[in-house]
Amino acid sequence: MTRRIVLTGWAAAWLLAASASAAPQAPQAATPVAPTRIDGLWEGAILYDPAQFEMETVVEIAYDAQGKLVGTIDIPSQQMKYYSLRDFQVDGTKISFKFYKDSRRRGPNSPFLFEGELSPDGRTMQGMFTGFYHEEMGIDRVPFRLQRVREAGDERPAEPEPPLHSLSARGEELRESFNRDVGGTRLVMLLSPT
Amino acid sequence: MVQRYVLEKIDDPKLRVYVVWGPMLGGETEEDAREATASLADSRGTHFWTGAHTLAEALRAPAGLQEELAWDTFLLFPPEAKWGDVPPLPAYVMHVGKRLPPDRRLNGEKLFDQVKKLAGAR
Repeated sequence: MTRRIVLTGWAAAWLLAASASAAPQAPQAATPVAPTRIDGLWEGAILYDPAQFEMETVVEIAYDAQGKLVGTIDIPSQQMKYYSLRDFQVDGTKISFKFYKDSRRRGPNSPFLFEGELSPDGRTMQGMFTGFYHEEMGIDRVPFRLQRVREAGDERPAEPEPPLHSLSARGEELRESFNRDVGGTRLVMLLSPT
Repeated sequence: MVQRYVLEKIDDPKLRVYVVWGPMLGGETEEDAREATASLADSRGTHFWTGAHTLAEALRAPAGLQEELAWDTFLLFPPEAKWGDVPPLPAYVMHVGKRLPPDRRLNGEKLFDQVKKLAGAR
């Protein structure tokens, strides 16, 4: 049932990719930051197939008390939340970092690598991600794009929790909602939540 | 991405999105669905959970599928469509990994265009 590595059944993951990526999206503020500043809260996506399959990604990077870069990554479609980032390297505007995770294809504790570059205004980092293997596409190296949306350590907005309605055996509740909303365009999606 | 590619770009207050979460792969639970609802938090969206394949069967033919259940499909209906004894025919269908035309494979930009076309036609 899991899609953590093999990535079958992509629609829910597609749906989950809800933050900045290939599509233009204005950052919260246009204030430039130093281009070599990698610390902050970054949101975006790993772009397997832009507009078709994107993995929502949140990266938070900060300096610890010893001045060393530390960080975490969230990839909801892989059930990853506050997963540790390691091996930061910054060389001017060039940056790289990794997380380590078991991979069915590459073995236990395999490195998953981000290699990229910070934009001149310091608000975007983009480059290539090497990690999850996409069986259909036969690739494990794809572009990523992240936008700096907050400072590291800032409180993140609470995740919304829309109500979930249980359907009866025949799904009458959907039909009732559908007919109640006649007069509007309606989109019905049937998805796996995992 | 429905949130970002469609709902964040189209402010039509009459637009509705119904997400039916279910056991497409076999082992999904209602709790999984509860967590997944966060991916689409627009006030025009409604989330349902079903432990059965009834709706995926009922929407198979409207989606243009022969044998496969309609999981991983996206069906877009015009404003006048009504659901009687059987579901109405959608104006547009997208899918992931189904035996349907490849140009209907799920794509946020194409879906936006189709929703915009229907919403703007009212």
